[in-house]
Amino acid sequence: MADPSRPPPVPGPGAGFAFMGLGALLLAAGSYLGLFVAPRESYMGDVYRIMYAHVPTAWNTMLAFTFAFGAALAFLLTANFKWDARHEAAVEVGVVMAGLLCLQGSIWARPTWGVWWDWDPRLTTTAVMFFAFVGILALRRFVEDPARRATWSAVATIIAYADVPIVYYSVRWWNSLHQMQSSPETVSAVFVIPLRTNAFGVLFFMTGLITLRTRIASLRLRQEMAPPLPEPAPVLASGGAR
Amino acid sequence: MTPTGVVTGGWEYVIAAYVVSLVILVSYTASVVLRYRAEVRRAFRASRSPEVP
Repeated sequence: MADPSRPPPVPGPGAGFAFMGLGALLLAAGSYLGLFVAPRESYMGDVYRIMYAHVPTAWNTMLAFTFAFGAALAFLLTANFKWDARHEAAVEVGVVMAGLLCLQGSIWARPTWGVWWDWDPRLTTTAVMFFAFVGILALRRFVEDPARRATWSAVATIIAYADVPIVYYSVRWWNSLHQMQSSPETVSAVFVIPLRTNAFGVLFFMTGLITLRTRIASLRLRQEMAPPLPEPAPVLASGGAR
Repeated sequence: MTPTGVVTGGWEYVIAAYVVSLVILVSYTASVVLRYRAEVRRAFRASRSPEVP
Protein backbone atom coordinates (compact mmCIF):
# COMPACT_ATOMS: atom_id res chain seq x y z
CA MET A 1 0.00 0.00 0.00
CA ALA A 2 1.32 3.46 -0.91
CA ASP A 3 2.58 5.68 1.90
CA PRO A 4 0.24 8.73 1.89
CA SER A 5 2.91 11.06 3.25
CA ARG A 6 5.06 10.44 0.16
CA PRO A 7 4.59 12.39 -3.10
CA PRO A 8 1.96 10.86 -5.40
CA PRO A 9 2.93 8.59 -8.33
CA VAL A 10 2.62 10.31 -11.72
CA PRO A 11 0.83 8.36 -14.48
CA GLY A 12 1.19 9.37 -18.14
CA PRO A 13 -0.80 12.17 -19.81
CA GLY A 14 -2.84 9.87 -22.12
CA ALA A 15 -6.13 10.06 -20.22
CA GLY A 16 -5.97 13.86 -20.03
CA PHE A 17 -5.50 14.24 -23.79
CA ALA A 18 -8.24 11.66 -24.50
CA PHE A 19 -10.77 13.57 -22.36
CA MET A 20 -9.76 16.87 -23.97
CA GLY A 21 -10.12 15.42 -27.48
CA LEU A 22 -13.58 14.02 -26.73
CA GLY A 23 -14.60 17.33 -25.13
CA ALA A 24 -13.39 19.34 -28.14
CA LEU A 25 -15.42 17.14 -30.52
CA LEU A 26 -18.59 17.52 -28.45
CA LEU A 27 -18.03 21.28 -28.14
CA ALA A 28 -17.60 21.63 -31.90
CA ALA A 29 -20.84 19.67 -32.52
CA GLY A 30 -22.84 21.48 -29.82
CA SER A 31 -21.65 24.92 -30.91
CA TYR A 32 -22.53 24.15 -34.55
CA LEU A 33 -26.04 23.07 -33.51
CA GLY A 34 -26.46 26.09 -31.23
CA LEU A 35 -25.15 28.68 -33.67
CA PHE A 36 -26.52 27.44 -37.01
CA VAL A 37 -29.29 24.86 -36.45
CA ALA A 38 -31.28 25.95 -33.37
CA PRO A 39 -34.01 28.54 -34.14
CA ARG A 40 -34.03 32.14 -32.86
CA GLU A 41 -35.56 32.72 -29.45
CA SER A 42 -38.81 34.74 -29.37
CA TYR A 43 -37.61 37.62 -27.16
CA MET A 44 -33.82 37.52 -27.19
CA GLY A 45 -33.48 36.82 -30.91
CA ASP A 46 -30.00 35.54 -31.77
CA VAL A 47 -28.31 36.91 -28.64
CA TYR A 48 -29.64 33.94 -26.66
CA ARG A 49 -27.12 31.72 -28.52
CA ILE A 50 -24.51 32.91 -25.99
CA MET A 51 -26.40 30.60 -23.60
CA TYR A 52 -24.86 27.56 -25.33
CA ALA A 53 -21.42 28.69 -24.13
CA HIS A 54 -22.39 30.51 -20.92
CA VAL A 55 -24.63 27.95 -19.19
CA PRO A 56 -22.29 24.92 -19.66
CA THR A 57 -19.43 27.10 -18.38
CA ALA A 58 -21.49 28.02 -15.29
CA TRP A 59 -22.46 24.41 -14.49
CA ASN A 60 -18.93 23.14 -14.91
CA THR A 61 -17.35 25.99 -12.94
CA MET A 62 -19.45 24.97 -9.95
CA LEU A 63 -18.57 21.33 -10.59
CA ALA A 64 -14.83 22.15 -10.65
CA PHE A 65 -15.10 23.98 -7.31
CA THR A 66 -17.17 21.09 -5.89
CA PHE A 67 -14.40 18.67 -6.90
CA ALA A 68 -11.83 21.03 -5.31
CA PHE A 69 -13.93 21.02 -2.12
CA GLY A 70 -14.04 17.21 -2.11
CA ALA A 71 -10.29 16.96 -2.76
CA ALA A 72 -9.54 19.48 0.02
CA LEU A 73 -11.68 17.51 2.45
CA ALA A 74 -10.05 14.23 1.37
CA PHE A 75 -6.59 15.70 1.95
CA LEU A 76 -7.50 16.89 5.45
CA LEU A 77 -8.90 13.44 6.29
CA THR A 78 -6.14 11.30 4.77
CA ALA A 79 -3.04 13.59 4.49
CA ASN A 80 -2.46 11.90 1.13
CA PHE A 81 -0.73 14.33 -1.25
CA LYS A 82 -2.46 12.93 -4.32
CA TRP A 83 -5.53 14.84 -3.07
CA ASP A 84 -3.49 18.02 -2.73
CA ALA A 85 -2.40 17.72 -6.37
CA ARG A 86 -6.04 17.21 -7.45
CA HIS A 87 -7.15 20.10 -5.25
CA GLU A 88 -4.61 22.49 -6.81
CA ALA A 89 -5.61 21.41 -10.32
CA ALA A 90 -9.36 21.79 -9.72
CA VAL A 91 -8.99 25.25 -8.13
CA GLU A 92 -6.86 26.57 -11.01
CA VAL A 93 -9.16 25.18 -13.73
CA GLY A 94 -12.20 26.45 -11.79
CA VAL A 95 -10.72 29.95 -11.59
CA VAL A 96 -10.12 30.03 -15.37
CA MET A 97 -13.70 28.85 -15.95
CA ALA A 98 -15.13 31.39 -13.48
CA GLY A 99 -13.23 34.21 -15.19
CA LEU A 100 -14.55 33.04 -18.57
CA LEU A 101 -18.06 32.80 -17.08
CA CYS A 102 -17.95 36.46 -15.97
CA LEU A 103 -16.73 37.60 -19.41
CA GLN A 104 -19.43 35.63 -21.27
CA GLY A 105 -22.10 36.93 -18.89
CA SER A 106 -20.90 40.48 -19.36
CA ILE A 107 -21.08 40.17 -23.16
CA TRP A 108 -24.62 38.79 -22.85
CA ALA A 109 -25.68 41.48 -20.36
CA ARG A 110 -24.83 44.40 -22.67
CA PRO A 111 -27.48 43.76 -25.38
CA THR A 112 -30.12 42.34 -23.00
CA TRP A 113 -29.79 44.53 -19.85
CA GLY A 114 -28.06 47.52 -21.46
CA VAL A 115 -25.04 47.32 -19.11
CA TRP A 116 -21.82 45.31 -19.05
CA TRP A 117 -22.02 44.71 -15.29
CA ASP A 118 -24.51 45.17 -12.45
CA TRP A 119 -24.11 44.57 -8.70
CA ASP A 120 -26.95 42.10 -8.88
CA PRO A 121 -26.96 39.17 -6.35
CA ARG A 122 -26.01 36.50 -8.92
CA LEU A 123 -23.21 38.57 -10.45
CA THR A 124 -21.89 39.76 -7.09
CA THR A 125 -21.79 36.28 -5.53
CA THR A 126 -20.08 34.94 -8.68
CA ALA A 127 -17.44 37.68 -8.46
CA VAL A 128 -16.92 36.84 -4.77
CA MET A 129 -16.48 33.15 -5.72
CA PHE A 130 -13.94 34.05 -8.43
CA PHE A 131 -11.83 36.29 -6.17
CA ALA A 132 -12.01 33.86 -3.21
CA PHE A 133 -10.49 31.06 -5.31
CA VAL A 134 -7.94 33.44 -6.90
CA GLY A 135 -6.90 34.17 -3.30
CA ILE A 136 -6.41 30.44 -2.67
CA LEU A 137 -4.13 30.18 -5.71
CA ALA A 138 -2.17 33.20 -4.39
CA LEU A 139 -1.93 31.55 -0.94
CA ARG A 140 -0.48 28.40 -2.53
CA ARG A 141 2.18 30.50 -4.31
CA PHE A 142 3.32 32.16 -1.08
CA VAL A 143 3.65 29.07 1.16
CA GLU A 144 6.74 27.00 0.38
CA ASP A 145 6.36 24.09 2.79
CA PRO A 146 4.22 21.45 0.98
CA ALA A 147 2.43 20.20 4.12
CA ARG A 148 1.49 23.69 5.35
CA ARG A 149 0.51 24.80 1.85
CA ALA A 150 -1.74 21.78 1.40
CA THR A 151 -3.41 22.14 4.81
CA TRP A 152 -3.93 25.90 4.72
CA SER A 153 -5.25 25.95 1.17
CA ALA A 154 -7.56 22.99 1.88
CA VAL A 155 -9.09 24.85 4.83
CA ALA A 156 -9.40 28.01 2.70
CA THR A 157 -11.15 26.04 -0.06
CA ILE A 158 -13.67 24.60 2.40
CA ILE A 159 -14.46 28.13 3.63
CA ALA A 160 -14.60 29.61 0.10
CA TYR A 161 -16.85 26.80 -1.10
CA ALA A 162 -19.65 28.12 1.14
CA ASP A 163 -20.23 30.74 -1.60
CA VAL A 164 -20.92 28.15 -4.34
CA PRO A 165 -24.45 27.14 -3.20
CA ILE A 166 -25.13 30.84 -2.54
CA VAL A 167 -24.27 31.54 -6.21
CA TYR A 168 -26.66 28.79 -7.31
CA TYR A 169 -29.58 29.86 -5.13
CA SER A 170 -29.00 33.65 -5.36
CA VAL A 171 -31.58 33.99 -8.15
CA ARG A 172 -34.21 32.31 -5.96
CA TRP A 173 -33.36 33.96 -2.64
CA TRP A 174 -33.13 37.58 -3.86
CA ASN A 175 -34.64 39.75 -6.58
CA SER A 176 -32.22 39.40 -9.44
CA LEU A 177 -31.86 40.72 -12.97
CA HIS A 178 -30.46 37.30 -13.85
CA GLN A 179 -33.07 34.75 -14.93
CA MET A 180 -33.81 31.69 -12.77
CA GLN A 181 -32.61 28.21 -13.67
CA SER A 182 -34.56 26.51 -16.46
CA SER A 183 -35.36 22.80 -16.65
CA PRO A 184 -35.96 20.44 -19.60
CA GLU A 185 -39.71 20.82 -18.85
CA THR A 186 -39.55 24.60 -19.43
CA VAL A 187 -37.26 24.57 -22.49
CA SER A 188 -38.10 23.13 -25.94
CA ALA A 189 -36.13 20.05 -27.02
CA VAL A 190 -34.65 21.92 -29.97
CA PHE A 191 -32.87 24.23 -27.51
CA VAL A 192 -31.94 21.48 -25.05
CA ILE A 193 -29.91 19.23 -27.39
CA PRO A 194 -27.12 21.75 -28.23
CA LEU A 195 -27.07 22.86 -24.58
CA ARG A 196 -26.54 19.30 -23.28
CA THR A 197 -23.98 18.50 -25.99
CA ASN A 198 -21.93 21.55 -25.00
CA ALA A 199 -22.39 20.81 -21.29
CA PHE A 200 -20.84 17.35 -21.75
CA GLY A 201 -18.21 18.87 -24.07
CA VAL A 202 -17.11 21.35 -21.39
CA LEU A 203 -17.28 18.59 -18.76
CA PHE A 204 -14.95 16.27 -20.71
CA PHE A 205 -12.61 19.09 -21.73
CA MET A 206 -12.42 20.34 -18.13
CA THR A 207 -11.80 16.78 -16.85
CA GLY A 208 -8.90 16.50 -19.31
CA LEU A 209 -7.46 19.82 -18.13
CA ILE A 210 -7.78 18.84 -14.45
CA THR A 211 -6.17 15.45 -15.17
CA LEU A 212 -3.19 17.03 -16.95
CA ARG A 213 -2.87 19.84 -14.39
CA THR A 214 -2.89 17.21 -11.60
CA ARG A 215 0.13 15.56 -13.30
CA ILE A 216 1.98 18.92 -13.18
CA ALA A 217 1.18 19.35 -9.48
CA SER A 218 2.26 15.76 -8.73
CA LEU A 219 5.58 16.20 -10.58
CA ARG A 220 6.27 19.42 -8.65
CA LEU A 221 5.42 17.73 -5.36
CA ARG A 222 7.82 14.87 -6.14
CA GLN A 223 10.55 17.43 -6.77
CA GLU A 224 9.78 19.39 -3.59
CA MET A 225 9.47 16.33 -1.36
CA ALA A 226 12.50 14.48 -2.70
CA PRO A 227 15.08 13.83 0.05
CA PRO A 228 17.94 16.37 -0.03
CA LEU A 229 21.15 15.27 -1.69
CA PRO A 230 23.98 14.43 0.74
CA GLU A 231 26.75 16.98 1.25
CA PRO A 232 29.50 16.41 -1.33
CA ALA A 233 32.66 14.83 0.06
CA PRO A 234 35.66 17.24 0.31
CA VAL A 235 37.80 16.97 -2.80
CA LEU A 236 41.41 16.14 -2.03
CA ALA A 237 44.04 18.20 -3.79
CA SER A 238 45.68 16.27 -6.58
CA GLY A 239 49.22 15.20 -6.03
CA GLY A 240 48.64 13.63 -2.63
CA ALA A 241 49.65 14.92 0.81
CA ARG A 242 52.46 17.35 1.06
CA MET B 1 -39.38 54.06 -32.04
CA THR B 2 -41.65 52.08 -29.68
CA PRO B 3 -39.84 49.44 -27.63
CA THR B 4 -41.11 45.96 -28.43
CA GLY B 5 -39.23 44.00 -25.73
CA VAL B 6 -37.57 41.93 -28.44
CA VAL B 7 -33.80 42.07 -28.87
CA THR B 8 -32.91 42.56 -32.53
CA GLY B 9 -29.54 41.87 -34.11
CA GLY B 10 -26.79 41.05 -31.67
CA TRP B 11 -24.73 38.60 -33.73
CA GLU B 12 -21.65 40.69 -32.93
CA TYR B 13 -22.14 39.86 -29.22
CA VAL B 14 -22.61 36.16 -29.98
CA ILE B 15 -19.40 36.11 -32.06
CA ALA B 16 -17.54 38.04 -29.34
CA ALA B 17 -18.64 35.56 -26.64
CA TYR B 18 -17.55 32.53 -28.69
CA VAL B 19 -14.23 34.12 -29.75
CA VAL B 20 -13.41 35.11 -26.14
CA SER B 21 -14.26 31.56 -24.97
CA LEU B 22 -12.13 29.97 -27.69
CA VAL B 23 -9.14 32.26 -27.05
CA ILE B 24 -9.21 31.67 -23.28
CA LEU B 25 -9.65 27.88 -23.55
CA VAL B 26 -6.94 27.50 -26.21
CA SER B 27 -4.50 29.76 -24.32
CA TYR B 28 -5.03 27.98 -21.01
CA THR B 29 -4.77 24.54 -22.64
CA ALA B 30 -1.49 25.56 -24.31
CA SER B 31 -0.20 26.83 -20.97
CA VAL B 32 -1.07 23.53 -19.24
CA VAL B 33 0.53 21.41 -21.99
CA LEU B 34 3.72 23.54 -22.02
CA ARG B 35 3.99 23.44 -18.21
CA TYR B 36 3.45 19.67 -18.26
CA ARG B 37 6.26 19.19 -20.79
CA ALA B 38 8.57 21.47 -18.79
CA GLU B 39 7.89 19.50 -15.58
CA VAL B 40 8.48 16.17 -17.32
CA ARG B 41 11.83 17.47 -18.68
CA ARG B 42 12.80 18.76 -15.23
CA ALA B 43 11.91 15.44 -13.59
CA PHE B 44 13.90 13.57 -16.26
CA ARG B 45 16.97 15.79 -15.69
CA ALA B 46 16.67 15.33 -11.92
CA SER B 47 16.49 11.55 -12.29
CA ARG B 48 19.68 11.53 -14.38
CA SER B 49 21.72 13.84 -12.15
CA PRO B 50 25.11 12.25 -11.30
CA GLU B 51 25.40 10.29 -8.08
CA VAL B 52 27.25 12.11 -5.34
CA PRO B 53 30.04 9.90 -3.95
